Parts: sequence; structure tokens; C-alpha cells
Amino acid sequence: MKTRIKELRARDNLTQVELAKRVGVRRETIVFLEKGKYNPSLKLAYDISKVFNIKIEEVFILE
Amino acid sequence: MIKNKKMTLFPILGIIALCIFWIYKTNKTFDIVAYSIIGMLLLIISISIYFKIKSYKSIASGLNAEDEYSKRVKEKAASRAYHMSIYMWVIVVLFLIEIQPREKIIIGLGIIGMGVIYFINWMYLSKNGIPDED
Repeated sequence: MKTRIKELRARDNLTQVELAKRVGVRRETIVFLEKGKYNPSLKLAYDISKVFNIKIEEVFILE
Repeated sequence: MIKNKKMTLFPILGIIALCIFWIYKTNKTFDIVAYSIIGMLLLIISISIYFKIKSYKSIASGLNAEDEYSKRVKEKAASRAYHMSIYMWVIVVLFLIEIQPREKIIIGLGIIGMGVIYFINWMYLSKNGIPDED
């Protein structure tokens, strides 16, 4: 699974720590999500897409 | 927060206290098995302290100490440790068959070995992620 988290963070000028605080996870979780080394739960995916104000499928892309 | 810190420190302090008690109580000279048990206990304690420091750092920077990823890592580490420990038990039973007191040593090494495998898996997964879940 690919994610656009890094690109969207850059668009919204968010650091990994800021995004982690907003969705209630640790910074490492954001790091592994960006690297594609962790598949988030539906709740976390929903929370992240809500932060960027776009749909889940626009943040997480199934290959 | 203080209560939480005390609760997380308790298992580490417990292991350290048990080690000191065990070393203090024993009248036998240490052999290779005793040194390997001490080594494994030290490894467990070091990894526990490493994770505690990491979680305190997360708390200090206003983040969650434990989130869904860290819980998933623990679950995955436990399942891998269980799987690997089956082979470890076979090795322990086969290679330590002559050492006395056999049962005590086999059970002691087996249990501590399971702990070591769990903690090593925990460390590995928390450093490398869980990429094989697609």
C-alpha cells in the first residue's frame, strides 16, 4: 500500500510530530506509515484523511 | 501520569530485585549456565529500559506513549516469539540433556529464552516496521 502522507504534510506545512499529535499516535507510527512499513487501522486512516480534509482513498492507495 | 510511571517501572524493578536476590542467595560458584542466565536477564532489562526511555520521551513531547502501532508490534513480537520458542525448546532439551539439575536448568533457560526472543522481536519490529501484512 502506498501513502501520500509525506506529500500532503508538505502541502499543509505539517511536521511528523504535529501530525502525530493531531491523530494521537507516536512519531514512529507516522514514519512507518510514510515508508509503507505499516498498514493503519481504519480509524487511524480516517483520522489522517480528516486532518488533510480529503478522502481515505486519496491518502492511502492500494496497489 | 505519576501512577502510570510507577506501574511501568514496577516490572523492571521487580526483575532487577529478583536477580540481585538470586545472586545473593546462591552459595554455588557460577558456571556457564549461570552466566548465560545473567546475560539473558541483563539483555531483557536493557531492552525494557530502552523502551521505557522511548515512551517517556514520547510523553515529554506531548505524544502518546502507546498507540496502535506499538500495540501491534507487541502482538506480532509475541506471536513470533511463540513460534520461534518451539524450536528453542527442542534445542534446549536436546543439548542440555546431561546437565544437572536438568529440569530446573531446562525450564529456567527455556522461560528466559522465550523472554529474550520476545524482546529481540519487539526491538526488531519497532525499528523496522511491520511490512508483511498486505
